Amino acid sequence: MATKATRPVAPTKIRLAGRRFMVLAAVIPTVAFYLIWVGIPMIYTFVMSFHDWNPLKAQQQFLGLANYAEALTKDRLFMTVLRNTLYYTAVTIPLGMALSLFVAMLVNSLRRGVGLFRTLYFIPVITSMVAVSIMWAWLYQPKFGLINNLLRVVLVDTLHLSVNPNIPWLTNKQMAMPAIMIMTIWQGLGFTMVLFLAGLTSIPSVYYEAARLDGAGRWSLLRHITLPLLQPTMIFVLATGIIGGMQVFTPMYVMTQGGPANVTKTIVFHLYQKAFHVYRFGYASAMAFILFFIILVFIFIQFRTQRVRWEY
Amino acid sequence: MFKRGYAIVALVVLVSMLLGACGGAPATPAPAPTQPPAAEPTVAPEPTTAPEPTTAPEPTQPPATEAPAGEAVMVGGDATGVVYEYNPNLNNGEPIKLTLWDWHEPRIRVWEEKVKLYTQMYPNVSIELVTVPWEEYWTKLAAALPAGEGPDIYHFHNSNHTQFVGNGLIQPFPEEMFDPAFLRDNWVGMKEGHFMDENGKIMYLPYGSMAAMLYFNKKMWDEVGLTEADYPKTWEDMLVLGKKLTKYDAAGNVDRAGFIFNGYLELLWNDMNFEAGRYMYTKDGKGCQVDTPEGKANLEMITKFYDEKVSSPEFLTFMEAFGTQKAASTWSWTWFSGWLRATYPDLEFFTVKMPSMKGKDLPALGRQNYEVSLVVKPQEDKAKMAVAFDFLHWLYSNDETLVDLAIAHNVAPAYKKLFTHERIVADATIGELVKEIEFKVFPGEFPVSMNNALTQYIGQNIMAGTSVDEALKQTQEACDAAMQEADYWILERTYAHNDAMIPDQP
Repeated sequence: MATKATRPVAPTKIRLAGRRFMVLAAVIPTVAFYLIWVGIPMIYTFVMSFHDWNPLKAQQQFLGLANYAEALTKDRLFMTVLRNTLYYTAVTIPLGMALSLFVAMLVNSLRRGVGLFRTLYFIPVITSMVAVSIMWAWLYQPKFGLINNLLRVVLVDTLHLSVNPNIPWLTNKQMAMPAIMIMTIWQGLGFTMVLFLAGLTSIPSVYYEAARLDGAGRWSLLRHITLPLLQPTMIFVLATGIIGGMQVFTPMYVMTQGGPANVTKTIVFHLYQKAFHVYRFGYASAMAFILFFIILVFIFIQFRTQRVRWEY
Repeated sequence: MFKRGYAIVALVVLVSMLLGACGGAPATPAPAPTQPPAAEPTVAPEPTTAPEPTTAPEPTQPPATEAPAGEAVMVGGDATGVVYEYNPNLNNGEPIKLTLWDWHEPRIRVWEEKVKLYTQMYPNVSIELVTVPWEEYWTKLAAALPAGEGPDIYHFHNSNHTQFVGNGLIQPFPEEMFDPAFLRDNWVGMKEGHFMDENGKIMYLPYGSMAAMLYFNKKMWDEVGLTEADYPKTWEDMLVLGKKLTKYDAAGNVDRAGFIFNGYLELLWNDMNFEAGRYMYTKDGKGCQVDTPEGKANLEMITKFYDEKVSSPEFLTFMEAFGTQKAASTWSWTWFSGWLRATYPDLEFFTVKMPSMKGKDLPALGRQNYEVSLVVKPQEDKAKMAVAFDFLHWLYSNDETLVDLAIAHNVAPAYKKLFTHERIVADATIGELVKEIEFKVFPGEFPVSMNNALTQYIGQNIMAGTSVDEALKQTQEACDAAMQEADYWILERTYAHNDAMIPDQP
């Protein structure tokens, strides 16, 4: 008598449960880590921004919105540093993006050595910002720095121009911030370049071939193919650039201490001084959250305006 | 296959999270001696402020012998007014462990030696020394102490007097070990209350007073045939002397500065204001005296050094310029001596009393600040506090230890008896400082925010070519704002020669 062939029952529920467990096991530590080291401190800091928070004191007095009001209406230096920060961001982001796109396109056009150039451009990115800042502070030294000495060799010794090549890069109020911008654009170029390079290599060459067949020149190729199809990369670069630019601190701290006369002082530097020099952690927290909301607004505007997706 | 993949990925993520959570700073952070000069409490390792003198102190007294365990060593000192006596029943012979934090690596070397001797004398006591870099020191203390954590003993700096004393983070020194009457009569600044809280309780002790002097490159000095008779008495004399020491390039620009103060311009100006009889703060401590006739005259005097090409704002900061022999002379606080010896050991230099307005000591010869001592954390464990203070009493009652500390910090000792100690007299810088210290004003707290304001609006403004009037106006506003932000411990008017200063100042 033939028996019913039995086959093992697929343990569907166990398989699904096992998969869910794997997912949870991977996600929970990350979430927990984020909550403990980022989320909870942020919530605590936000709450304490409404207090006269001095960590050395036993009691912290509730102030309501006084810290926010002070930053926005009484602290003249806050407005100055906000302007400085916006100036820095407004210049370094578009310039940095344009330059790194240009370099990425150049590197992308190479037949050989792409990897080498990618590495060379990326080296400053992985170098400590403190080390880079110290090095550039020396490069910018008016009398003994390399930059001015090169200018002397070219302008005075070679071209015999009667100019003073001892440019006070970091001690002149008009030049100090641009000098820092040059340094940070140089340092960050490699990172953005690598992202653009990845974006460029993902654009199918068939689009360029088709466009050339239709008689498109270089500028048209750039405007109608390269830039639109790089949009996802640009969104990312712009967003991270804004976040990074608005939070800049290290170069100013190392190179100029926010000077001369606070022309290079940024919001983060200002709130750092309020917290760690005067122990006004509550006020510093309020400034940090004002900065947070400003960045949030910028990113929101950016995402809204760059919603259009290009596809061919 | 995929399940195994998921499992492996999940395991890797889990393990890496666990390892990341468990990793942390080592119990004893590696020493990183980047600290501002003792008198200038800026938090950062900064190009424009002076770093840490890195000379290891060399106590020249023969190290107290490595006594067998339990035997008294370095006892009998009475510098605190109470003789230190060996106590064989310290903590009833029970084991006890203390931690001591400091940021200053050369000083840690001194503590290592002293702790070794002390713990040999009291084998039941162990003291763990922890070096915390200056940049993190106050943040870590601020996080640890209010939570009841942190060290049992920690080194203090008086720039944080208001915050730490005002918030009960320092235990007052017990009078049975540190006699207030004796200290008032025999230690600098005690009578004026420079180390006390508002109730007159002693919160820390001074090692000594630091102030500024002129530094000259000996070779350059000899080159132009100068002698002791050329020591400048006034700032005009200094201008003339500086011209003799300056060298120019073919284009007529300064190639070797005769006198350099880049990076310290604002503090030089500040000292000159005291010399002119003008205090730094208003009497109520809520404002500054910056935009004054004396302030203007002094800033104009300083810019003369640039205008007459004895110095240049394009030059290096005073430390690099003097150390690399691009400048013949400079003005600095005396921590500079130790830094030079450690960084440029071949450089021959000597120090000279700084000039004054009219070549006289009165009304004042500038500002001074104190290097101050270890302090004890208030805690419920009375046994730990008792042993901590016993250690401090043993340390600070000993004359030779106090001389060691004064020489290590290049300060004039605070214990007046040591002014004529042979090692103090033999040190040219400290020997000279001892003679001047009574004419140096101790203003009290020199808040970092105030220091920042002076750096930004005096120092950097002048180097950027801003006019004197504009610089003074901006500085006045910034300094007033800094002083109004918090309450500070202001002691200017306790200056011994207050009657020689400008009368009826605000």
